[in-house]
Amino acid sequence: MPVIRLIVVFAIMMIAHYSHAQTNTTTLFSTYPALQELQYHPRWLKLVHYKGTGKQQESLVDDEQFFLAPTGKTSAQDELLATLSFALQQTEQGQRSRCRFPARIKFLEQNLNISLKKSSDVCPEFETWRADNNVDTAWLIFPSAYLNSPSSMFGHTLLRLDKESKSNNRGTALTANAVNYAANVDEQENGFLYAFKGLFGGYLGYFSMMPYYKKVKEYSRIENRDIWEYKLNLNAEEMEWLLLHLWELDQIRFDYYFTTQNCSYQLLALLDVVRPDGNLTNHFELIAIPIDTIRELKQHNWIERAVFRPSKATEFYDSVNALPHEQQDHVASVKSKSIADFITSIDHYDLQTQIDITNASYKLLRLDKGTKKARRKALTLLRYRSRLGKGQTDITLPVGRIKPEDGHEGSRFTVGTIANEETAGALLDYKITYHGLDDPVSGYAEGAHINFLHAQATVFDDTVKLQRFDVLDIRSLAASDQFIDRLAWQVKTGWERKVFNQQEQVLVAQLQAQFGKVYKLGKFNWYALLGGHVEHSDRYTNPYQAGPNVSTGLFHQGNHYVTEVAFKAFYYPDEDSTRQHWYWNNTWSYARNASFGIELNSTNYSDTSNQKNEAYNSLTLKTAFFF
Amino acid sequence: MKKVKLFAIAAVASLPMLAQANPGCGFGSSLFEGEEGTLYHVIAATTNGTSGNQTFGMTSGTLGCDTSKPIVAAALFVNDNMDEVAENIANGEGEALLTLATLLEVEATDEFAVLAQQNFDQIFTSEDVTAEEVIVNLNQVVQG
Repeated sequence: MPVIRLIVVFAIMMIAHYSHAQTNTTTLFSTYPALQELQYHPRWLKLVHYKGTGKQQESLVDDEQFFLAPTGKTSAQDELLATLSFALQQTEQGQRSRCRFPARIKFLEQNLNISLKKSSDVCPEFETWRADNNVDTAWLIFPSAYLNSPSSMFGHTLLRLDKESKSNNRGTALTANAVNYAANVDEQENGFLYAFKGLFGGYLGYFSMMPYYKKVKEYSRIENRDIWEYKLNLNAEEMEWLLLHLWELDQIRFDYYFTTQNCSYQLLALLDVVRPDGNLTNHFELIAIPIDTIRELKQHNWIERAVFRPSKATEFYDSVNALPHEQQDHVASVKSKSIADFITSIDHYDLQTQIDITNASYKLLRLDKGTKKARRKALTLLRYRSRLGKGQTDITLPVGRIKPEDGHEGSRFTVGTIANEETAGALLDYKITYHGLDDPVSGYAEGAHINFLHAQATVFDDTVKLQRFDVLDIRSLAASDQFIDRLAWQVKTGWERKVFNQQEQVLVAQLQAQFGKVYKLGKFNWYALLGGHVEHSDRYTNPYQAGPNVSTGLFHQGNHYVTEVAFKAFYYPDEDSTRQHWYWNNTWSYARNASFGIELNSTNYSDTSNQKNEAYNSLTLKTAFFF
Repeated sequence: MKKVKLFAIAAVASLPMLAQANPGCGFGSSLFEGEEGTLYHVIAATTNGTSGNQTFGMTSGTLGCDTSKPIVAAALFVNDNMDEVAENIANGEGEALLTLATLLEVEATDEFAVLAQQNFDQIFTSEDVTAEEVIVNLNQVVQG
């Protein structure tokens, strides 16, 4: 077993070296008096990703390769001494540690006022990498929320490293390197297992680098997510820290948790090394929502400016919305017409109009492709386009697109008064994050609704009662139109209080899902959805109840006013009963993080066999604060 | 027609051998290659995940490719940006076209754009054209 022998020999060598280092501890302290305090230095703590102090001290890195001391994960002092001890050695091992941890070496050199690098040192891998990444600018990239993927529901963040002084135009952004922190996942793994392992830490997270165009392709073309790019105001020294430490994280393993120690959290941890007095990660120990991390960076003056990179769908709508109605109809017709017919139908327009219609039509075709026939059609249209010449560049783009970080904050607390036919009481409502159709829409996508951990309670006659607790509540209500046909859907799971008779109101566990369509009616969106539900309560004759349901409604989302009127009906075949629910909500926002609302609810329980028919109506006045 | 200084490297004759000269360096995408449907995304997709062992030294997707050669870097870029390059060339402008020009070390980008637009049919010969073919065709067009 030569391999085992090799490992044993290596282990003995390591221990020998380490004990050697330990005997030298006193010597190190007397030679470098400044060392005593360095273990508490903010940059040292950030470089090894420590959290907590004393006995609670622990690094978030879960990889032995990252620590030079056997106790390095839990002791900033041991790791500091081991790093210095290795760095001082003339040996090959000393050289290896200097090549592997350039940021730590820079830190020790700066703070101990010594030179650790040896003239004989050669670090070819690092040197090549550093030369390939001769960059001067870092951008934080935020692909916005993507409802269809559990890990991307709240968006994602990554970094891009640019050589800006080389070129000020955008011809080099696509080929710049992107730095991405992600879980190492088998693509075939199913969504539920993913969600479970993601929450409880079954995945390993790594930093990786790739050309930015690969990420743009993934986000803006395949998933149709708009991307916001934020330029960070890092100076040359700060860029150096960023790159040196990034190298130390190459192939280093972290445990990945998708709500806490996720992409956004680990990027903040990386940036904390750059400006170690900032403690960016401190606000995100419980939950790290990507957009909140951007707000944190903005608040602490990290962001110089923002650039918008539209998704392919946004690009299409920008180009088609700039056209008059009758020209929009030509664009829509390209899907069903042959290209020859399409060209004939628009050739009476002037050249520039033909160009504008063709550009929009191609963008539309590109959204829906795949078959050989569709690809040939798109190519035929492009051939026609190439013969029209360049034309005038810019179509009128919508101005004043609201940046996502300027939308309301993620957490919401609501208080209100609730009145039913007999009495009045108080309403208390809290959700951890993110955005609902009853919240101000500025900075968020129309028709998108994702609430995570949302609880609502009422207080009547000094009795507090939990009315609902939604674990996850997603509504994806994007409208279909003459150009694009979309599937609308919503899914909700949690507990909701239901009335079994006058005296008995019980919390019932539920999972419900609906699918359907949304269409625009002037300023309103009208939806009709069909679905099913499963409920569990011991109060039912059969504790598990499954049945169909329907849901329809109208909603409008303006800059300061949003409203929704909805009707839902649930059928319970086992009990031959139905529950019908009417809901009308109005929310006015009077500040970025404050709103006022009026809500009407009416629930009707009817039971055909027992002729039961009970209705419960309530009116709620509420005020909400986001933070 | 005015010629554009296109490729900084001399080995233009070996272009068809691009892939063979870079074993493991794939240019497999074709124009408008279809992406899997919504369901694929709902279930499996892009969990922000990466698979396999990635090191910074071997940037993902460039495995086995010598990207220090402009032409290889350009072919890899076209391979991943076929739709945008095609659209930009047809329009005579755009970010992907500008990036391609930069990768190919073209100085006269405006002339390059005009020439490429005028010869769109020769560059994108069919819907099954590969990135490697696009680069070869582009080269022929520019060399006139």
